[in-house]
Amino acid sequence: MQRSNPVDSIPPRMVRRRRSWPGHPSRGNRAISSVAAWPYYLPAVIIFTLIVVVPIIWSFGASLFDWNGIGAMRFSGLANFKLMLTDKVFRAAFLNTIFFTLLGTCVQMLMGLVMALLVLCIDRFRTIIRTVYFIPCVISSVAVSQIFAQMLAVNPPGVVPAVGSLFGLAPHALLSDPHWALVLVTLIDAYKFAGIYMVIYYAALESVDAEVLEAALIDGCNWWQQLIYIRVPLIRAVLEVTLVMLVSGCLKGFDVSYVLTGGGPGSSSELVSTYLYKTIFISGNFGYGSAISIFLAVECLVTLLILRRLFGRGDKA
Amino acid sequence: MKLSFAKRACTCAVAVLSLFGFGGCGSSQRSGTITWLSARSASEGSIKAIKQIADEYAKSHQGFKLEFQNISDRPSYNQKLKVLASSNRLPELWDADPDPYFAKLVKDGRAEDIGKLYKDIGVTNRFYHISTKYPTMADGSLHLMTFNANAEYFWYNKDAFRKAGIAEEPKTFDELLTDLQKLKDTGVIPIALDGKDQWPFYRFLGMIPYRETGNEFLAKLKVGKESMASPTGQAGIAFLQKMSAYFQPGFTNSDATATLNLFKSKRAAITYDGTWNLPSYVDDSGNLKSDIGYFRLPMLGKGDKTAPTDFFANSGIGTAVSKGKLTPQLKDFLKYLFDKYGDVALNDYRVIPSVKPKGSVKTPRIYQDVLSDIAKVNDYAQVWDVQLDANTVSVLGRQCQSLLVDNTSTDEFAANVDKAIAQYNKAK
Repeated sequence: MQRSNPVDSIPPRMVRRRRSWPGHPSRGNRAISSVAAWPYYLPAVIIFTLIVVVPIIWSFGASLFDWNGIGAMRFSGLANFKLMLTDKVFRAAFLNTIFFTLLGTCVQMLMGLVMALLVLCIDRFRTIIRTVYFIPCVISSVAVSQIFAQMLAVNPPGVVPAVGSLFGLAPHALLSDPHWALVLVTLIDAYKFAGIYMVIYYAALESVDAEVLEAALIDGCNWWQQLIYIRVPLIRAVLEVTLVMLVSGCLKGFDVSYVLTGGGPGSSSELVSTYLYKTIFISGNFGYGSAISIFLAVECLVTLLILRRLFGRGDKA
Repeated sequence: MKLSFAKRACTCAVAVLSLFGFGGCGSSQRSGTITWLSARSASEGSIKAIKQIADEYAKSHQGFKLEFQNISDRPSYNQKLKVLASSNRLPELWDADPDPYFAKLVKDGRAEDIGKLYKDIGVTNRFYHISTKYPTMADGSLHLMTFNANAEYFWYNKDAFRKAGIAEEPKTFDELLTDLQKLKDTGVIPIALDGKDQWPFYRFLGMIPYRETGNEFLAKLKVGKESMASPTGQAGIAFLQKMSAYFQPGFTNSDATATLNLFKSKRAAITYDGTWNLPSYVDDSGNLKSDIGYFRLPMLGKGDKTAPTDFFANSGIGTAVSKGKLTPQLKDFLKYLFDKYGDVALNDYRVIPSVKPKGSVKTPRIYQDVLSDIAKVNDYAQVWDVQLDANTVSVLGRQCQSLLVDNTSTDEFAANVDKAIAQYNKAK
């Protein structure tokens, strides 16, 4: 039996109206709603423009000048950007930042996820353990760096060399070793911020529908399979967001490197942002520092665009 | 609703108006206030002495108030100074080293002529030689007031020397290196070095060039007429490398406190430090601790261009007066300050002052000995981190660390430092 379509009995004009509501507003409605929404967007747009867009434009302007902060600015065109190409310290800082970002992102995501799963698996003292995991996030970077500096010190021996000596390892000044300094800076930075991602992943994992998990259990999924095939795919959007947060955060990493090693020894743990700070505030080279800051902004932007593109492809697949 | 909105609007208006009103009150109340942006800690003896004198002055001068903004962390202070200078918001008084950056500020007309001020208030002859010579610019002008007179020494633990069989303090660099090896053989750390702050690197780097040429090598180096690759420059680098074999493990990341603790706990035999840290080496009565000794910069043994009494001495960070802010009241206060400062600083706070005390010296012998040493300094050794521009100093620090952890060669070290100096001179 063929059912008659109720839409057929409605005049065409009405049908168009009904089709455009509520999910698809008409062009006129869209225009009206867009105008009506502007007062709500405007404060955020103004604030964003003032604190992000204007400084970037300002910095770009400053990057075209040779200026030490005093007296007249001397126009130098793209000379500061050219200098970046030949500056060995900048090159080292850039490579260090790439390493810092790759290792830091992986470690923080992994640590955050592992801690979230651990918290999820335990029933007793969950809140206490969650708080303990989160503590490094609320301690200042300076304090965390100083604590680790003492733990890694060899004169007098800190906890790490003392424990190492129990296993017959000779004390080694890791923070003064150019091969280890950056690795340690990255790991300590990851330790400090992993708690934030633990909280985000924990909230996401908690929100996974219990019925889905039960169904998987009935289908014979073990815990690991549940994690890989059910939980992780269901929190994919959260993982993508945290990846963006981590990559952009790591590219701008500053505090632990600056406090713990000062970018040293030499330039072995120098990051783009610490070098930028030193160039402006220690060397007093505002023009070159501004050029580095523009590089940093573009670097972040390009990386995030690439990530978005990758996520887009993943969605289509 | 309307009433509620009106109420809110009125509250906002009152809040905004009161903000402006209070702002106005604040600025009128602050008319006699002199702000001093200081790179010294508030707990430093020199600051305490100045505050005490300022308080006395304020009692007889209504409305006068000296307000300190202390930022003792030097990189943070330099950041603040550069931000304020670039935005033309320097306060009445601000601290600065007589370095190339300060020279630019002077050239830009930001600082008053202190030489003229000293003459006007009649205190020129009351300063120790070093305290007026150290802050003098290359063109002979003086734009910084000083409050300290510092000497730098090798401080040593007598027990460690005794244990190593060292009977006499080393007089030459060769003797110093021999003694360091003897100390190392006993298992003690020969030298504790504050590598995080980097300034001791520059001192060790400059020791041989200073003894060989006086300040000539540094003077030529900074204008690009000398090179770190020259025999004198290489001798300086080689000496720093030799010394580094005797520094504590992890010295590049060791700060001033950790270094001092190593020395005070006798795990290290020697440390190189200035008299700004003298309170760390004296007992409660202010006398040098009986188990601590000190010696001056060693000599080459032959071919020295400088006298044994000449060594690294300075007058600490100086203080500039912003151009146009030297009011008659500030001038009067500074006259009062320098009149009292020598005695108050030395006798009440055991600070070695830039100004000779007027009264009798009541301080322990070590202070008098240091004062005597400072008075004998004729051609003091100039410090590299003040003479060279900030970018070159930054490169130098990085290169020193790299060199001493075997991450760069001496040739690369010399080439990078020379390049930084050349860049600065080209930009100038």
